[in-house]
Amino acid sequence: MKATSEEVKTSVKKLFEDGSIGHFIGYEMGSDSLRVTPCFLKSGQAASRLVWNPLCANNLSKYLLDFGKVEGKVGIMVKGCDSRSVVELLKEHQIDRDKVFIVGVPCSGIVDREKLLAVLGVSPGEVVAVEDDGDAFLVTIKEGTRRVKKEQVLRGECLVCRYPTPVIYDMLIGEAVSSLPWVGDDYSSVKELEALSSEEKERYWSSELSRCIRCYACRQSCPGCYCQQCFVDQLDPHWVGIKIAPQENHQWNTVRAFHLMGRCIECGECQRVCPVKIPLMLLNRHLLREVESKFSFQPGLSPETPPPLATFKPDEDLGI
Amino acid sequence: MKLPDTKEVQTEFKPKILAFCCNWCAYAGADLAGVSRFQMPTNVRVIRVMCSGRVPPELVIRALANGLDGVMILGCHPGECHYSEGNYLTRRRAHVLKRLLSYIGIEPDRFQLRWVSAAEGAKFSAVVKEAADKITALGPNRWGDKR
Amino acid sequence: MKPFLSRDNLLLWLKRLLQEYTVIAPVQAWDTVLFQPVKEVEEILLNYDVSALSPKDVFFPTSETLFTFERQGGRWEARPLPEIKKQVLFGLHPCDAHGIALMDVPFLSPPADLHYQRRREATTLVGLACSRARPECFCESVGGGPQDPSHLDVLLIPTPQGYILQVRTARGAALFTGFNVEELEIDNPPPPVTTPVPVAGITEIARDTFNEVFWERLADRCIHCNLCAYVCPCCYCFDIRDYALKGRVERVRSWESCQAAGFTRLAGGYDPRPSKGARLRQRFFHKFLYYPTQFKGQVKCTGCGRCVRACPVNIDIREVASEMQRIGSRVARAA
Repeated sequence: MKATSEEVKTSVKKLFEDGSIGHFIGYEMGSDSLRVTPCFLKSGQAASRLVWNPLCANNLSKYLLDFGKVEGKVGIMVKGCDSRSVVELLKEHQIDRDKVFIVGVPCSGIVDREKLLAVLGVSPGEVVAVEDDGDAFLVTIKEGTRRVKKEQVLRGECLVCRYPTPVIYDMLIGEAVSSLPWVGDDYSSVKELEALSSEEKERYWSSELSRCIRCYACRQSCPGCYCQQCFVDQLDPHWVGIKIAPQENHQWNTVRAFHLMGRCIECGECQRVCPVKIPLMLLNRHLLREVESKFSFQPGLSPETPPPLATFKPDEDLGI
Repeated sequence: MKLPDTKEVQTEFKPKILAFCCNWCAYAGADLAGVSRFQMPTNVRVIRVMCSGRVPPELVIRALANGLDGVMILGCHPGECHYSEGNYLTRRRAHVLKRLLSYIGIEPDRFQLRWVSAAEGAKFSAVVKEAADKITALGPNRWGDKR
Repeated sequence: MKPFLSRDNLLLWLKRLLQEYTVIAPVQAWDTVLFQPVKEVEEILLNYDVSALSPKDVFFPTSETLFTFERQGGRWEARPLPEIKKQVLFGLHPCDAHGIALMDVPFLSPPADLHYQRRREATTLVGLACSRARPECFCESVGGGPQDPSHLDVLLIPTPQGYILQVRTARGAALFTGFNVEELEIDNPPPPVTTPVPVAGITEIARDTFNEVFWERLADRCIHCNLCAYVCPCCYCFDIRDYALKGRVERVRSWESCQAAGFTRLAGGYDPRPSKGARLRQRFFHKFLYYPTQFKGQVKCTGCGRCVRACPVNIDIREVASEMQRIGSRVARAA
């Protein structure tokens, strides 16, 4: 990360001081050295709490929906993926562009905490800091520093990230990153699954979805899921009830994937929060690829481009 | 005397198929097929909707999750939608839905979108029969076991 | 001299157990560990740290049908409850056994919950002591410990040579009838140490924190994902709904979380806990104040650390406990 915590603190403090923002949503250190937590500031003095490091996994953009009625602009810190959520929220008229001040930070990869602990063989108590160091992470532990190759410990979504630099911002802290060196064919796992027979695919997804306990953490963490009343909570019509069973689990996950079609911007929060590690991004990315190839559309790049399912070309050939 | 078990008697699989027909074209087409005495498989249940664009994908997924073996949406030909654009939107939606269903293991032929106008009674009958044949060949919906 | 099972003997015993009982044990499921019924002994993980979900779903399933009425020949007949075969819950750590004991109080106190009771009576608990403490573990701060045998029928303590066996109840002993258990002169391995958390005395000071703005501040980041309640070994909020189907009526109970928006919304629209802060406060108050007061006992927490690991926004029960204590002593000083 070219941007540092210090630069972020100074910039945000200044934004408060010159009246550009009345609130700020960023990250601060959490309950141990390898955890960060979302933080909500109302003044420049508190800006000293802010951090920016390879642990900042959360997509903060959904919190913007809570700030619709506040006085003054809301500043928010976004990575590349998060900025695309902001674009989608703007496109769908969920937030007002005039009320948001976007502080973009180019990102070169976020650490998966468990992978890092496994590779290092230490406990979080021994870790002092994690910094970006080009193609590796520099981890300061009590006895010194260790250099860990990024590909070993990155979050799954970072391995296929095509937008490390925010696509929308009012201020950019740090140098833009055009592409990440480890990103190759980002749809290889999707293609692998597509190549299986119907029966094999059905068996795969049935076994994965059988673990679903319908906690709806995926929905809650997703900036694309903001319905006042989700279809699963409707009693009339009654789509999916409270029974945790294969039929209902299939309905929930399939419909959610469909609802995110053309809107999912690959932040991967759903998969990060899933307590039973269902490969949700494998499901979402299939439709992402479909939308890209068939409609030449990528979500989260421009607030003006209409969503692919809300538009059409009269003479397009979709094989129907 | 012991009556045979229903399962023993039923040697042939008859798929249960849902056909959403738009009021202005496909449903009228179905009507015409009936009046003209064209044959139609009995296990295809028709549901009339005002426009094919009204059919939510959630309903298709729910139908399949409930164990139905096939779902069809039949609407006006592109350019002839009674509401101008409904079927264009259906077309995009159906395409993506088909791909999603195929990805999670539901054979693409179980969900079909077809265009049938009010004057095409024979076509309606043929299209529905073709779908029923294809779905019969595929066998019961594997999701049906989950109920 | 202590009863002892070499690793080979343990596997032999488990194989024998599988012939007579349903065995629910920790298994590898994709990237995580879950408690599931096993068919082969080889599936069982003997050296796992923590499962993603606690084994509370053995007694309190994620969803279950409480009863079904069916129309048969003009009458409504109740379907008999499914049979619950005798089962062994194997490999749970002492914190999870503690969780089950905490749930036993509300579910088994008269009038007992029939469904929980049937499952509980059919199950023998065989626990596995912990060889390592995860960074988030704090069982010792809530009256437990990595080798605590309480609430278990059998405890196995792993050592490099095998497993020290502690049979605690007659029901546990019944699992070993006809099985030769050797005796070995061996010391218990030193238990791993957990980081202390200031839970002592929290019940007494909790009420002093009720009006603190701290709760709303903390709740700003909550996304009500429900994970804290779902992964917890002793949280038991549930929802019940009736489903009318063709010729059949079912009553289904499923897990719920007090953190869900609208959890306390009443018919008519009034909600006594409309804000995230009120709901978050409720969670910690139930654990630290209401449950111990109502059931005259320990706090409703086993120190397993699952909520700390699961929370996507790092709301940490350990930090909450510290803050509550800090506020409590500030209030006491001011008084």
